[in-house]
Amino acid sequence: MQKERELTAKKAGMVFCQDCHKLLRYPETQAHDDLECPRCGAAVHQREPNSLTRTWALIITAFILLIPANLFPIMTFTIKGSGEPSTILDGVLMMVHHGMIPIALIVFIASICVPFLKLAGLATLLLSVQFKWKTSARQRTTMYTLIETIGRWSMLDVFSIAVLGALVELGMLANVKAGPAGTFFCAAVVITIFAAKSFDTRLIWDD
Amino acid sequence: MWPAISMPIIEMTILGDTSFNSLLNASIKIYQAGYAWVAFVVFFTSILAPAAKLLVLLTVLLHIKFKRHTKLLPRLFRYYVKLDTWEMLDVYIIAMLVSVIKLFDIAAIHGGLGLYCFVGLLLTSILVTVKLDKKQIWESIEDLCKKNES
Repeated sequence: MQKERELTAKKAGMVFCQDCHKLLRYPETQAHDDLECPRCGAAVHQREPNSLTRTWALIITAFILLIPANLFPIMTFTIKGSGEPSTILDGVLMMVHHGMIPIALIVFIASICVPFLKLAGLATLLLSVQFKWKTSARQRTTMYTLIETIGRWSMLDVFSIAVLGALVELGMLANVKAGPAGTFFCAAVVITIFAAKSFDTRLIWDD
Repeated sequence: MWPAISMPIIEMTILGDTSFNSLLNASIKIYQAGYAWVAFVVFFTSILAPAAKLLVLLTVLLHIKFKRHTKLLPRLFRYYVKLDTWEMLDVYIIAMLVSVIKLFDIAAIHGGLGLYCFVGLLLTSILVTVKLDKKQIWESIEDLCKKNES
């Protein structure tokens, strides 16, 4: 038997401002749509409306964007006049060939594993809320925190292209040009961050 | 909390090199290459967001210190909280490291003056994030607002 659920703010007739973390009494008779936090002025909802739908939409968008991001070349590295466009995976493989395993691992984790794992993780969270799976709320909260903190690190590759593009500009001798995948990848990362933000973590605590 | 005030002095950060690379330069180059959107994101996360964060925090802290009140104060601090995710200096420095290691075989690389400033900026902004007690600031803001009303 599962232990009885603890008291949540919602059950206690309270509401929690997501912006300044003030705990407010939730007015029962008043219209709830335009409730504002008296301290910071943010719109307050007991549970964010349409949080699940919006998050799903963003997850799917990000996933679609990740496909061209991995298939198209992300940059063209030219040394002494010759060079080929390479995708993210090519870049990682090249580094492995040159024996730079730790760096290859960082790039591989940050730009290939993390984006997909993040989306998969968020999707799992959404499913668990939607179908009321009996997983522990604590586990799900940890998962969400992990997704949220790790997300920014996917920008690594985007910055890396920007730095290389600005740094390596020696004409025919050596040159780095950004490729079309950059835009898709960047968009995917940003949209995933938005997706993580639009998920209302408080939904985890509802039965 | 107070070290935050001395911070914006090192806002201008330039990473010099023989073929010259700076924070600003990186986003300009990628813009010129035709990727305006990527350029904007890079510019926003590496320059605009960190600078805006520091400025906003400075304004809020000064208001609290001198007990001045404006209606915008709660909104300003809300922006600060929102900007938190989009400030990516720490990611940027690892990206720089990755790029430098990639280039190590083919070029001699040495850090410029800007590198020291950049590291300084990074360390101080991490310190600010760690030291800042958001709850305390919100309480001060609330007190200020109440005093103003009565």
